[in-house]
Amino acid sequence: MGGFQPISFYSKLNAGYKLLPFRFTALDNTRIVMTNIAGEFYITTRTILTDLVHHRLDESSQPYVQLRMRGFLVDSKTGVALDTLPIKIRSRLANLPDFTALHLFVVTLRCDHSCPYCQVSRQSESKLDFDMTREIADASIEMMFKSPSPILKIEFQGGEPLLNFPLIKYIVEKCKAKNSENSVRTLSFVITTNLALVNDDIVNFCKLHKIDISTSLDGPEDLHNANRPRPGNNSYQLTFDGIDKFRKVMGRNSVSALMTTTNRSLPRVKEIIDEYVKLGFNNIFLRALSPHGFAIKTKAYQKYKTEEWLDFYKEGLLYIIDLNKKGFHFVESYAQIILRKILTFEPTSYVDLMSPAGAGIAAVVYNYDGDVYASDESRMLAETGDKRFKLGNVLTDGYTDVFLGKNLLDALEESFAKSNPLCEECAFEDYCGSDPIYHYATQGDVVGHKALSAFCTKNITIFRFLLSLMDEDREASKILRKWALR
Amino acid sequence: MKSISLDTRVYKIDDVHRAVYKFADRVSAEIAISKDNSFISVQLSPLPRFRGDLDVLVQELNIELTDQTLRRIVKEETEAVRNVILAHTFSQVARG
Repeated sequence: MGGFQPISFYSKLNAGYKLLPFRFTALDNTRIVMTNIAGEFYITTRTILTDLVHHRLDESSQPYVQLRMRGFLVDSKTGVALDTLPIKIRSRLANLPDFTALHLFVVTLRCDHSCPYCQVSRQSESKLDFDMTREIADASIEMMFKSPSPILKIEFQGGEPLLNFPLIKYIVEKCKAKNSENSVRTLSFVITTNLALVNDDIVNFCKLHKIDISTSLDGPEDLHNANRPRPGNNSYQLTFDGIDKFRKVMGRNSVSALMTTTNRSLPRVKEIIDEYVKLGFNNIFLRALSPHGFAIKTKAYQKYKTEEWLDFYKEGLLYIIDLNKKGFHFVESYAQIILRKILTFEPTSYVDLMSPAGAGIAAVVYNYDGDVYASDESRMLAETGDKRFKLGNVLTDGYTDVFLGKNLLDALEESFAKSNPLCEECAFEDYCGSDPIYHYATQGDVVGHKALSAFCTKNITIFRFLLSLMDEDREASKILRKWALR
Repeated sequence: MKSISLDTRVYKIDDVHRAVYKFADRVSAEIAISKDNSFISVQLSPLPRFRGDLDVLVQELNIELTDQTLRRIVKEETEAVRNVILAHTFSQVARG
């Protein structure tokens, strides 16, 4: 009687798989991250990767099954990935046709604070020449309504925008009137303010028109005041009082806060997070300092290296995850944005993590003088004298002049990450962005050499950190996955 | 300074360029092909900001060279299907 062949004999009979496009990058010394053409990831070893590429991977093995399921290969059993991958890629780009949803109105450059890290190159309170006029506001509103986006989010920026509150009122009422004339856009409003000038009239107006508030909170009182000087050195107390005022009238979620990391912040990330928890926030955005405006002039930007900020970030993120493990829901917002890109195909409108770049596509800025900029960062660059990313002026240029002009399109095309050196082969490219303004500001080139790019170092390190956490810590993985789905 | 010599039967010049490009924050490189095209020489000079061990960097570069070879194989093998996927992706791009 003959014997049976071993199972391996039969797998050879059905051998043969075709690779689908993928990229890979080292996660650490022992693990590799692979991502398929739609950005789905798989963590493995170099041995598996090499076997896969050389068609030696055993089809009965777990890695083979996982890789087939996730669209890294096809074989005789299924080629469904060829149908699903295009859908996933399209999903990631689904918001592009809507074009610009976020419209920033810089209603004044005047400010009552003197933050050395200010990226806005603010003017003193007395200089009325730096206020937006009604004529410019009208022209900006006209241009905004030419955007095809079904959602229009109007964000009032400065300086300190409340110093020109009458114009804010004018713009809100004008936008609502125009919107009710002939379209069905969803309008939303937000004021970014230091809250120092809040009074009951302002709060009541915001309540009436459902205007959200975004403020700055750099941490505990001493840190916040040191970072954000103003006459009286009472920025923290005014912020605290302002948050309280708005919440009492408009509810807890009406106010969000952002922090900026300075040299002073670096050893105090847990205290900063505790301050946010104490003040009733459920999230924090651990932000690095960008190379714009006064931050460059005062050299605040150079004061800490990327590595120091990354240590700050990792310590903060681990602390936040620990809070979650203890049952307290609290989110780190930058991680949440990234996790949504890693774990879903939902498109992002976070400008810095878009490719094609979010400049002009996700957001546009109407400056107090009518100049239109591709992003807040390019407006900040212009305040230092470099108008490379000025797209036009609302008083002299039409919508197509601004949005189809070379200044915008060249930057978007040249910086498109899928065709840039190092980015095009990077496994994390679908999670990242191109940020032409950052690279222009730091390297004089919208593409930049990514080996020299702090933007690249920062993001790759965070991607690796998050993926490693999800791979190594089951509880942290659950928490991070929940963040992605909120 | 460190020099490495790479057999052209194993390594392609484009892969060498791509690998070396990644280390531009730490070293500068002079790349040359021998007259008989049998080997590629890479001469690495550490930049002033480089504080690491050049021997370790060479090890990392060797790993990266292997990775670039793998990437090229994947790219060549998947070029056609990549074009099909992308064509399918953008063939249905239209606003309703």
